[in-house]
Amino acid sequence: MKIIYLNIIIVLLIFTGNAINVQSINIGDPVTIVPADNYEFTGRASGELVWDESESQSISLNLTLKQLPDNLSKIEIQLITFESIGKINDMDQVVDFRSQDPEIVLSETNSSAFINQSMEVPTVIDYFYVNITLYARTRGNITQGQAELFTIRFPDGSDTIFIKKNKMAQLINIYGFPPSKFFSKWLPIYGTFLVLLITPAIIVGISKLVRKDQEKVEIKEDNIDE
Amino acid sequence: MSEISIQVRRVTERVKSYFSLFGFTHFSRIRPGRAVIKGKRRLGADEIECVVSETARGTSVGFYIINTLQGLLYTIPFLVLILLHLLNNLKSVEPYLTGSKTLFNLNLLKLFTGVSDITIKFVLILIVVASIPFLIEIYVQKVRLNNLKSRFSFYTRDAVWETRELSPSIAALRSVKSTIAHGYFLAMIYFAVFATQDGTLEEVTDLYRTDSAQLLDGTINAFTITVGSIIGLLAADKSIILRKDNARIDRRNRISGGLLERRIEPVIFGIQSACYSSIVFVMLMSVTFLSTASFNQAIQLISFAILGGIIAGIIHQEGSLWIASSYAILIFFTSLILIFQTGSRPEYAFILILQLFLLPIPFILYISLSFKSILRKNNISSNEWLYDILPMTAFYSVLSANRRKRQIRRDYDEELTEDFPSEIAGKIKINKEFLQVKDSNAYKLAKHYFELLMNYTASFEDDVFILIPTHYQLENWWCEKSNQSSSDVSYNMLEYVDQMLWDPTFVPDEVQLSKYENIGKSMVLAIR
Repeated sequence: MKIIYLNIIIVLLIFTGNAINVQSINIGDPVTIVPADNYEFTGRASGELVWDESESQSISLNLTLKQLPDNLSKIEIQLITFESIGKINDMDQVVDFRSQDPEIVLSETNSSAFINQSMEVPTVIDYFYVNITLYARTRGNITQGQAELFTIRFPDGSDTIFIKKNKMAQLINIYGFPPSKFFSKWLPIYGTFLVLLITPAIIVGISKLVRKDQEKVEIKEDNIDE
Repeated sequence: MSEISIQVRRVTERVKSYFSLFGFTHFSRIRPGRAVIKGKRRLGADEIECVVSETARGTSVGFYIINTLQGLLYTIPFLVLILLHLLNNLKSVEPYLTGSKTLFNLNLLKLFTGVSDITIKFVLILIVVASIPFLIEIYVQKVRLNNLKSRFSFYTRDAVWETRELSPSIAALRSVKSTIAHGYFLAMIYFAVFATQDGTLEEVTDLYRTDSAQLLDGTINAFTITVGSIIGLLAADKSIILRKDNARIDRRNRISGGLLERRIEPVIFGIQSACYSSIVFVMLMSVTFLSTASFNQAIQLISFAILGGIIAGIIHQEGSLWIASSYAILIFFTSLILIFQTGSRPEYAFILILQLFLLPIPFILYISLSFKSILRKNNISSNEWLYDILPMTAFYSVLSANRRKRQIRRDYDEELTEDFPSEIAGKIKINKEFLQVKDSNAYKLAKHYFELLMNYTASFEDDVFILIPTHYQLENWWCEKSNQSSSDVSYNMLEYVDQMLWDPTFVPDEVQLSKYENIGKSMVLAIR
């Protein structure tokens, strides 16, 4: 009976453990931007609020367009940048910078877009936020409008994304192999060192070979004598 | 004139038998009116010569150390450093040392010394470190000489000689020279990256997201941990081996075999020698590769060396394979210490990969131990060359041993034409006619036999009373001394000579005589 209870407890523990691992997904408040040209443009960023250091993370952005005025036919989104900003030494600093050139064109018929950007998990800080900047240009039937910059902060308000530090990753952090340029210079030194160390063994080997040769010669000479 | 020469000859024979009793190999030259008897004895790495000159005026006795200058060979690695520094001052050589024309685009001066500026402190410390092995060598030989003089009291009976024991600290310091050279070469492997030019260092620091100052600090830390423990291990093991050698030579230091002496003394001695070697090593490193290291890092090196010394003391009895394995295991565990710091210090990741390359070194050291067989063939039982990066002294002693062998062969050939030693011959009645003919095989064979008997007697201490050995004992002793396996041939030879000398009806066969004469000669030459 005890074993059955134990098994049940273990199974429960596994399930609860999985339950704890479920992370909250924040779908940020829609940021509505109303520029001078009288159209309404809503951006909504979503992503996890707790980032695991060992897993790859991404932020997605939903864009919707409303009430496109008559004099404009479409809006081109030419550049989107994602800046991870964290506090290092009490100063806001950019930890990670990603940009993409999505070439999205929003119009009456195609009024929404979905953008996904994978981000690197910063290792030097514990919490941060992401500034998403859109570089949009309106285009009329004939004229071309001014390019404008819109910034969305994720998460909203003064919230931040927390980094769940992976303990193993924090302890062990092994990068790649040293560059080949270094090895081309280092290996000759290392090789010389090994050769110097093995000289006694080489001498032993040579002397054994010489002795074997001599024995062979002696045997041959004996055969000739006979 | 003839009376004097007979007297001289008689005394010479006596001196020769005394030489034999003290374990000397001896050569004598009897000239009209003067006899010179030279005796040589090898004590560990030292060779001592005693010359007794017999004249009608009186007798002179002199003791000399033969291979004093051989100790200078140990200082070669350090002399190279001083030479490099001197060359750096010459403008025509400078580009090959520090400029763009260096080998593999490495700053050779920085590769060898870790620093590129010459200070008076640097040169002074180099001279001190280089002179340590040389001075110890001379001191040890002097102590040995005094020990011998005190025992050799035939002519120096009136003088009072005090024997001096070799202090354990001196014995420990004897192991320093090779371990320091080993550690020095390891330092070159560790710090080679700082001697590179054309941006290799920047490439490494970029890849590992660190800067050169931090990389240097991390390398020093890793070096103190890993190489410190390796130095302690090797120095302790070697000095324990040398101490055992010492005990074998001076029987009064013989290890009796109690728990304290077998188990605990090696550990204490290992700690002591690890301390000595690491302190001398830190002295050398403080002006070269570790010139930017802190005091704490120096203490770290010494304490890890002591750890290595303790390990060597504990496992020393298990043999050299254990020492080689623990060399590798120490690299593994010190790497573990570094692995768990890579999170905060990314430069350790680079050093860890370098440390991976150190793993074959202990096994190469172990393979090199087979060099002992070559030394044994030349009757050199010295362990001074162990763990040497360049066992120059061992190579040199093999060469000189071969030269000496040729000399001994020549001298023995000359000796065979002389009469029997009167002392020994007087005790044994030999009244066979065929033995009286000089240069006959029977005469030579009998001489070989007595030579073996005399050497057997000489291999014991003064105060040991020795009976004439049985053939079995004599053959066993010969096998042990000449490091050869027991065979029927040598035993048959002894049997044959016994029969020849004692059986009145025995008539030797010339073919067998020449065969056994050859065997006897090779047996005598093998133990000389």
